[in-house]
Amino acid sequence: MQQPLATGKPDPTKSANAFAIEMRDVGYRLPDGRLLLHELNLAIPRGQTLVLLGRSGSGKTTSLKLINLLLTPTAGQIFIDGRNQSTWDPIRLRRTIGYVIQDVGLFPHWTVERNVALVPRLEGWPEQRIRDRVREMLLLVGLDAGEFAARHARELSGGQRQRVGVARALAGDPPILLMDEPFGALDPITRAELQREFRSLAARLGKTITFVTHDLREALLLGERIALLAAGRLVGVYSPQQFLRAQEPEVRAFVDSLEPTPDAPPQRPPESAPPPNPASPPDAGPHPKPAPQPEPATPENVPQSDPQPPPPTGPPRTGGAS
Amino acid sequence: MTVWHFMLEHRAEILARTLEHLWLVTAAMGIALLIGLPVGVALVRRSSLRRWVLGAANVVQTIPSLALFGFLIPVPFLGGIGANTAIVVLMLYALLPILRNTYTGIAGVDPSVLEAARAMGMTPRQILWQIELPLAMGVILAGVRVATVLCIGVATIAAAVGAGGLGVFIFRGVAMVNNSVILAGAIPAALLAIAADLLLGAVERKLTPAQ
Repeated sequence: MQQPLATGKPDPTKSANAFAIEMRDVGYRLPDGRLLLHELNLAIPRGQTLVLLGRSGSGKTTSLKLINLLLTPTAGQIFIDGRNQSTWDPIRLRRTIGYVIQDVGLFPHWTVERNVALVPRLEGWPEQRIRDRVREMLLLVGLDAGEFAARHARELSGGQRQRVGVARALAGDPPILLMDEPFGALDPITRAELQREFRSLAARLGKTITFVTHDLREALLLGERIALLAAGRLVGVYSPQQFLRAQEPEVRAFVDSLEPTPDAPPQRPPESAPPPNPASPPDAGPHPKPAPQPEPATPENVPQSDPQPPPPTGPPRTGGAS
Repeated sequence: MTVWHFMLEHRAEILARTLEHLWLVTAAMGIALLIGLPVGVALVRRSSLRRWVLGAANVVQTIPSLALFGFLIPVPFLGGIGANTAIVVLMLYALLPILRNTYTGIAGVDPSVLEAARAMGMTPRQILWQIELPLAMGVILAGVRVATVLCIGVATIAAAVGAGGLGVFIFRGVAMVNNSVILAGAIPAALLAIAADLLLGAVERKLTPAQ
């Protein structure tokens, strides 16, 4: 298998829709009977960044783990790349989906290089190509390969670790990326820095990204669409602008939490007037060289220069096409 | 006659007994590893088994070694007079530290590491060999080290069932009420234990991934 994980390889059985991930009436119940997720309908178009927002225990992480079959849905169906998840081999499926978690989960006994090379090596890429890919990925996340490739996780700062985590997730060139509060454990300054870089990276790479967070600011900053979950149910899917105006009590609760305390008005502007236009030109980025374009640019990867409104954002309560 | 004098005079027999001793321990440890490592790995996956297996291994450890040797003498195939019985008993003693540490080592791997490994599409087998075992190696080797030292000590009692080893001098010395003879067995046995401990400690440090 010399091939990279094909980005959305053409598949005759694929439905005609443009969704990278589609969840239909998906539910998840624990063996002890507790219902963690109820009738979730959600469709994520290719190339879009969707933020799953919710409080702790709202089912966001559960939803994420259902997508790559770390958990198996107990109800409903999930389509990945138009193909019913049950027809995928779980191992194959997971290698086409990058995964980034808050604790990173770098393998502590491996160097940065070996960590990043994980999926390419599992996929049996030739050694030279793996080495090139690792350099390319490290550069992409703003780490100098010469300096960091041979280090172990313990020799990295939290922010550097998460950069490596992102590089590892992207190394196999998966069309889909799942991120579970990836910046949650970082200090505020590092977090802001990584959020900025994430935006430009997301715009450049054209991956379909599902991003879990409980932080509304982060959701507004990074999401093209925001799906709000509460107590295992989907409240609605909104654009960032819509979210701030929406009237659902669950949404209001979140938006109100943004409001600064009465006597601190100067802090307001960035949040209450969010500029979450994902199509804004990718920032120059921290790299001297423009990062390489590792995408074999597939037709699905709609160019990010496409001006404005995120694809088929329905009004609140969009389900997927069900 | 001083100890040193006695030891010098009987150096050939001491050497032979030492080799016998080593053989008993090596054979027992080999079998214990063959059984203990896979079972220890299985215990991580099957919590229902865990209690029973670790419990049984614990019980074995509480049986006085001399009694265990005695129990085995009438048992066909496993027991009888001679080295077989000794190897079986030593193996039973070595099993608990190996089982327990294999289980503890693997169960102690950071869950986020395992989650990442699964989510990136590693198969359970790849996770075991590339992630869990290497990360648990330090703890497993610590168990092997404890088991080996324990075996070297218990093996001195194997002389009671005619298995040979350095215990022969000790039993003989006790019967003769001659400390020199006892020490001719006890000193080499103690040195063996120390040497094994140092050697396995070095292996442990070498193979343990710095974390």
